[in-house]
Amino acid sequence: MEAAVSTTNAKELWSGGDSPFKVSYGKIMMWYFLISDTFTFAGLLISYGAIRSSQPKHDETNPLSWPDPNHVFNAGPGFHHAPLVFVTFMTFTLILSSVTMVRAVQEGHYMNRAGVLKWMALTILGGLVFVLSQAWEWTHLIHEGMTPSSNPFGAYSFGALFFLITGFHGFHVSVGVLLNSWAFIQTYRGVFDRRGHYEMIEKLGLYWHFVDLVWVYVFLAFYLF
Amino acid sequence: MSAETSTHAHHVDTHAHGHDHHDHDHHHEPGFIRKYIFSEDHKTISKQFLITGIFWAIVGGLLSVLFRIQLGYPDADLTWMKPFLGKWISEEGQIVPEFYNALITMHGTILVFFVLTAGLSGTFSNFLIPLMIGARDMASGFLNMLSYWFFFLAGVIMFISFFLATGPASGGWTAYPPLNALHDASQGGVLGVDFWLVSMAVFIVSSLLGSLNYITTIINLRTKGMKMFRMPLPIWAFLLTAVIGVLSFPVLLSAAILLLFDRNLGTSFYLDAINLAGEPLANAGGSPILYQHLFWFLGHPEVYIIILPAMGMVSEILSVHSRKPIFGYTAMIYSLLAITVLSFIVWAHHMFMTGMNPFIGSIFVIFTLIIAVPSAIKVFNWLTTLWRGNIRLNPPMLFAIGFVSLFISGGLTGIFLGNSSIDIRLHDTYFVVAHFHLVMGVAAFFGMFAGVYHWFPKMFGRYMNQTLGYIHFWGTIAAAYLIFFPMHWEIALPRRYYTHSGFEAFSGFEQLNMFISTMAIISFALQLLFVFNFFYSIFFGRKVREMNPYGATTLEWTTPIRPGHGNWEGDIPEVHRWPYDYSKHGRDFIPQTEPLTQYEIEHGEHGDEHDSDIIKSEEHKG
Amino acid sequence: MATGWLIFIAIVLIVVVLFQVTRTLDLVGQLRGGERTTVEMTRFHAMLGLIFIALGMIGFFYSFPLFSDRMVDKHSSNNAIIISKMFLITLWVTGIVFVITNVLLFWFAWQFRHRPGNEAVHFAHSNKLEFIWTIVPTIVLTGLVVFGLQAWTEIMGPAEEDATVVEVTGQQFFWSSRYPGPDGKLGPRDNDLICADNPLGIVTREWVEHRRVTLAGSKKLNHVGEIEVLQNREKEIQELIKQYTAIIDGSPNKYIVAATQDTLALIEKELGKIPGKITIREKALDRINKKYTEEYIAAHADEFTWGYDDPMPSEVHVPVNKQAYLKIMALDVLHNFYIPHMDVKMDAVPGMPTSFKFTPLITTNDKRQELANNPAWSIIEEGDDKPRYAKFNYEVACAELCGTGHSAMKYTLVVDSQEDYDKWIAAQASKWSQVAGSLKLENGFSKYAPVPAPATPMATTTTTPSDTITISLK
Repeated sequence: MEAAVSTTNAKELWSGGDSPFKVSYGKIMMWYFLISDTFTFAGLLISYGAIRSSQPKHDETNPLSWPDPNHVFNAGPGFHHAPLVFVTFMTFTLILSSVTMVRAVQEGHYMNRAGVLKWMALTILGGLVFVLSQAWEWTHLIHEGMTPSSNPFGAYSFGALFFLITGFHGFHVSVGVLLNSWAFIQTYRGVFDRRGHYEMIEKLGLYWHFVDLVWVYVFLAFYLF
Repeated sequence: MSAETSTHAHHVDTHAHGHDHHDHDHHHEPGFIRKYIFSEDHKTISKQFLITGIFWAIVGGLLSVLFRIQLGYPDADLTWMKPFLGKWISEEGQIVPEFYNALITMHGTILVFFVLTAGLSGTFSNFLIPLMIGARDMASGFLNMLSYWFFFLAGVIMFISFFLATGPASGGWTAYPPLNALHDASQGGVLGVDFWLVSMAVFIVSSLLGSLNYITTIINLRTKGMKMFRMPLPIWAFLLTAVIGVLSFPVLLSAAILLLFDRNLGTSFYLDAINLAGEPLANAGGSPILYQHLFWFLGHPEVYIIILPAMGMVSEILSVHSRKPIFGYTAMIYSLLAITVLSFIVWAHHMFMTGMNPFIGSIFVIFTLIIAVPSAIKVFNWLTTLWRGNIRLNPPMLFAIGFVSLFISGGLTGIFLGNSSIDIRLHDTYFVVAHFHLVMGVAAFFGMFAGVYHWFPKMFGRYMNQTLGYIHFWGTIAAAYLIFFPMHWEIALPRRYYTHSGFEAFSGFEQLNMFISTMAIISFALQLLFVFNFFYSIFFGRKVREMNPYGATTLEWTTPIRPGHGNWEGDIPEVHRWPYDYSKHGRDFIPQTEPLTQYEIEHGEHGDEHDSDIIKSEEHKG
Repeated sequence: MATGWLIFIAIVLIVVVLFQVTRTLDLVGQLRGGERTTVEMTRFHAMLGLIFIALGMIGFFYSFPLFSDRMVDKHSSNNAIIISKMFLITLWVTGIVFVITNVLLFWFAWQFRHRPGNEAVHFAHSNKLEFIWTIVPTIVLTGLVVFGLQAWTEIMGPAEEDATVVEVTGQQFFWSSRYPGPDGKLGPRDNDLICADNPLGIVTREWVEHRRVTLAGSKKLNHVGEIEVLQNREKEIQELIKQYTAIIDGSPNKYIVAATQDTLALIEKELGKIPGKITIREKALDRINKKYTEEYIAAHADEFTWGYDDPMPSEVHVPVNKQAYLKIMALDVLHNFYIPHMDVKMDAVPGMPTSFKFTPLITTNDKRQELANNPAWSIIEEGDDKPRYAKFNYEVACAELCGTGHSAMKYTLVVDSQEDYDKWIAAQASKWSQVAGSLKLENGFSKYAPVPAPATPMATTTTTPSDTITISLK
């Protein structure tokens, strides 16, 4: 029984006098991590901007000019000559998975284990579909001859930046899928129910929305402009 | 650790984990490995950082001794080193040029990142944050442990690179491409740079984990009453250091990833129009300057990551041993904040001579010189803290005073370098070397020494040998000035030169170089004295018998002499006042835990009448 | 060796004794009571602090003039004069602060040391003081920024129309230079065209053709191209490997086996690099063929003639009292074109031409005369026939770490009187127009274009990697 008593005492002591945002340390940490990660992506995207601005603008006659995204990304599994259709699907999937994540967090607030499981499963599915789609796109482009060091569609840097930045983002999505799967298992085993809150799902939600948000910028950089 | 304190540690451990680590089950005494190796106790982790830092400081110092021998005694016969260094010593017994470059590169990398970032900030942020803000441990002990082990791994990778057949990275600690992007431009570039980059990436992960923990702990885990403006200055410094780290290191990470790609995947982020020894490389479209922007966006804040913790600790130590409140507590905090913000917008002053737009250069000149204002405020506040104090000159206090002196001397030359026109003359010369060694190298070391001497009793429950400390101080400050002050006279000499003998313009400095090298070797030997004192005192030093040997106000001195995991045996004390109530109302010091008396006004709450403080306190004495 | 051990033992003994003494001192201090020791120690070290700062300041003022004549003297160019002025202003400002603050620091440590009767004062804050030492540094620094930026703009501003244009190029580990010929225009350059005969890759119709031939070879000219040379070498090495393997397997002599194994390792390493080298050349050839189409050459016909008359002398000459405009290039890694006497310093960046300007004020000859008055320069060094000053030259160095031979990138700057310069540049132009003439005459592959080798780097520290193969055209 002693343990239970000391736990309540400990709670008071640990929470200290000030907790300015009324937020747990885990969430603060996640926020700061995301700020930090923003800077990593910012470093990469600024490099993208710097390199791109030094390259010739798109020009049909110059084989080394910046390529036209409509021309590069015009295929999907089983179809061709459909500019940006596949990436629209990928983006849609990822955004949808953010929506399901919101639902999962919500169910977590209600302490509804079944709800969390359902929406987490959909989120994981969305993430998986995205990662697999990206794998398909990469394979396709490599088949077409685009690698980090060569690019049949135009400026070499396009290929290098594309693989680097989408790769780094894809790595984030993959990590997210793994973490979400882990949380799914923990939920299934009832760990969060026993803990009395679903904060872990909330923290993963923050990460997942961040990864989603970054994709918007990546999408803008490579597919739209 | 005595059986008694161990029990307490265990007891508190249950408290600690009751809330935070639901999935851990710690109802038994941790074994040796959990207690000393994979420990989650912030105090143990801090000692791990410190001892690893000391190891790397010795390695980095040895490297500098080697290249100083080349500079000061170019004719010395080093054949006897051949068994250790092999082909890096030529048949004639000299260090070969490639190895010289590797030495300066690794010296810089090790000292900047492993010693003065991890060894300094890692040690004291970990040790002091929970103790000074009244927390049982860091927010996440597990991530904190990971932070150390990532640092350890980064060190292992860097250490392995010394044994590569083609040697470690040799293109300067800044690893500028294209030199460091090409495999054939230098021997270190064959493989050493890859190790360097991977080690850096791992180090960045370590630094991020640490910094996230420091920030979160300071924001969330302060004890009752510990308002932000009641935190001791070291805590403010650690907080801002961590903020800088969280924002700047990731940019280095992206820079390193791009460089790794350029090296190994044939991309051209930093490469354009290169013809290396007759080989026209296919790389096109990149820019070497891009790397420099990314690098210095970290690199400049990095010098503040190094110096801010030292500033914070020195402020505390000066105050404690002058028996006087730190002068201008709020001004100190705001100047730290100003430095933090400004540190992010001055990076291009390292790049005045890269051919960037002179107008952009002008903007960076303005920001760079503005940063001298908060630095000046701090110096004047330190001086005023000493004024009319009651100064006890023990080793930590001497090192703190030494810090101020070195920071002044090294900081002032920054005003030359920050002014782009003068930088034309000074860029990449020994003047720069002298400047940054004084202001962030030796000064940060002095801050670190001050911290170690001051908090050693808290860390290990024993005192360090005082007399050795005195010898260490006077020897080191004399040697530091004798090394780096005359180095300013070598304005003409370009740095990173294996030898200056090929140039008439650079002649006439042979004797000065010899003098500097001699001093460098002596100063290195003196540091071994410290290392000996440190390890000897851990085991055989005089035991601490009183809880608060310095008569300090802060919370760490309310813990048991050898605090266990969880720090306080009972409840965490509550805080009622700022941490600098020294010599107030005729009392030597008033601890932070003591409630304000009925008519007492807390510092910082009485408008603009501070000038009358002196009179008031003197009245009280009477 | 024995003395070495003796010294070692002596040092160990001294350290042990020293340590025992310090321990005893600490113990005695404790026995006598902490307070008394603290007072005495504080007094002793505060006194040491006063001595330290006094000696330090004496050393500061003593050593400055000791070395001031050895710092490169700074009045040979307009930049040097401007910067010296800025330097001096800053030196005064910072020097005063340096002395005052450092002296105060150690003086306070003495004056307010812990001793019976001394009490600290609770003086924590003063808005007045904080205001003063915020505003004063701000004003002083604003002054320095204003002066500094004036100087900066003057040095970095646009060059004059009639400045002497020189193009300098850095590569591992030497500098080379090029002047616009009589037409006043520097010919375009292309890294892909660089070969032993055309070390800077100047673009003219002939050099394009030349590079095609040196890469791909030509039956008509009976010339084997670099690609083929490498392919032949590849086969040759494969053949050698077979032979050596046979020797290793067959020879009973272990020394021969060991030696052969070493050689084998070397040529295998070389072999490993050949495919990469071939690919690099094939890609370059591909780029040349794609870029220099007949239409392209026709469209740029004018530019393609600019390079014919560009002299590439082995040192930089500039006329005195006239602005010189440096165009700075790099071929491989970062370098920095640094002329210590002139306060000229600018990075050389591959793919990004930079520039810098300066006006030399003293000719090399006048400088020698000036130095003749200096005793240190009048001495005749061993093995020399002339005194030091007579051999004086403005030197160029590299100020950006560029690899093993960084400290060997020496080049020479000669400041001529206008008269001398005119003569020199005319001679260069006529020499180089002959070169161009011979090129044009053959109209096509100019195998023996008499291009002088670039300034040789100092042999002492420049090492050629042992695994590079030298490809000879002949």
